[in-house]
Amino acid sequence: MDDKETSCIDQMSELPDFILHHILSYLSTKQAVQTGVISKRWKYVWETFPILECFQGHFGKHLNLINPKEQELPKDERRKIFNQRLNFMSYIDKKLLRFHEEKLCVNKFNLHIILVSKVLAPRVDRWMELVAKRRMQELNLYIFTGKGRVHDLSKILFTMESLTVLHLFGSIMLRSPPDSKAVKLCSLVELHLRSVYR
Amino acid sequence: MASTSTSTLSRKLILKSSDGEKFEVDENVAMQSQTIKHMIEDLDDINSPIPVSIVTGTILSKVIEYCKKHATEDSDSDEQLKQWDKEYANNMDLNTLYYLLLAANYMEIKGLLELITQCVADMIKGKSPEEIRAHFNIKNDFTPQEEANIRNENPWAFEN
Repeated sequence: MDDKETSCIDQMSELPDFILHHILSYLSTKQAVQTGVISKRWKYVWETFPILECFQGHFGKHLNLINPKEQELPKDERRKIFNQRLNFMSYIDKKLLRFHEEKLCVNKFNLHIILVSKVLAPRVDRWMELVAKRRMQELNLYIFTGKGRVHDLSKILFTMESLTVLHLFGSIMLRSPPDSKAVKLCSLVELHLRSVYR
Repeated sequence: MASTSTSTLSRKLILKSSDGEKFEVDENVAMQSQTIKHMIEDLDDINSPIPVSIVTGTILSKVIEYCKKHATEDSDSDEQLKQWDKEYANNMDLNTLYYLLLAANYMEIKGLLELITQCVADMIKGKSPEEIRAHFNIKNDFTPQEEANIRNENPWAFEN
């Protein structure tokens, strides 16, 4: 292996960030996260990757249960699920805060979450506020709540001027604003609504 | 004397690499590159060689090979073209892929940039971080503790 000099040089790490981001965009979320451990350079590339995939299911397979209590899961299992849920939420907190602090671009934000308790709702609002200011182009939200609660995102969603694609699915409320001027979605070309309330 | 006629098909351009190698190509081949397209529009003089300043002759010849294939609207089906792309990329070593990425970026050839980034991503797919390091000769500059911390932050991504 060491007979060819060029084969010993790591050139890929020297590529500009956006080309490495382009490469990451072809990988699964799991594999992309793994690249963060390759080296400091790749960690930075992963941490600034502008496609944010936040799927609750990644953090534990039972996280998609709306009410673990009703599933009669043992106490240990329920505690585990609770901790996984916390990990998931702090993962997003940390990630979005970094993008906010360093004024990094978010091209795409995909969020899959079950809001098991209404106390979690303000957290989602906070995330939306953080990404709204990051010139985001694509937003895919999959939000479910227990007990028929709905999450009203009209106010913040309508302010996202740079958004070109918006997919909403689940217990999300989208109310028409009193004044049409409040809708600033001037870049929007694709809108999908599924099971959304109005 | 150079007429600005619209018979673009027959026009020839000369591209000059960073190491002085010259390549004569059809205009529609060169126009696959947005950078060259803009240069031609700005210059309106296609008789003098167009410098492609950061790309060497070796790489430029490979870029031209790609552009030629994609400029000709011949009988190749999408499937055949995909197959050609795949073989084209698979024949390159890491060093060439690296310079092709830089060239595709500089020359703004979207298709080529996508093809090569996809090819590099395919090399990463299914490999563990250790295997990725070995494949690309990347030096692990983390201490064992730092590496463990990163893995612990996102255990879900490192479980099998």
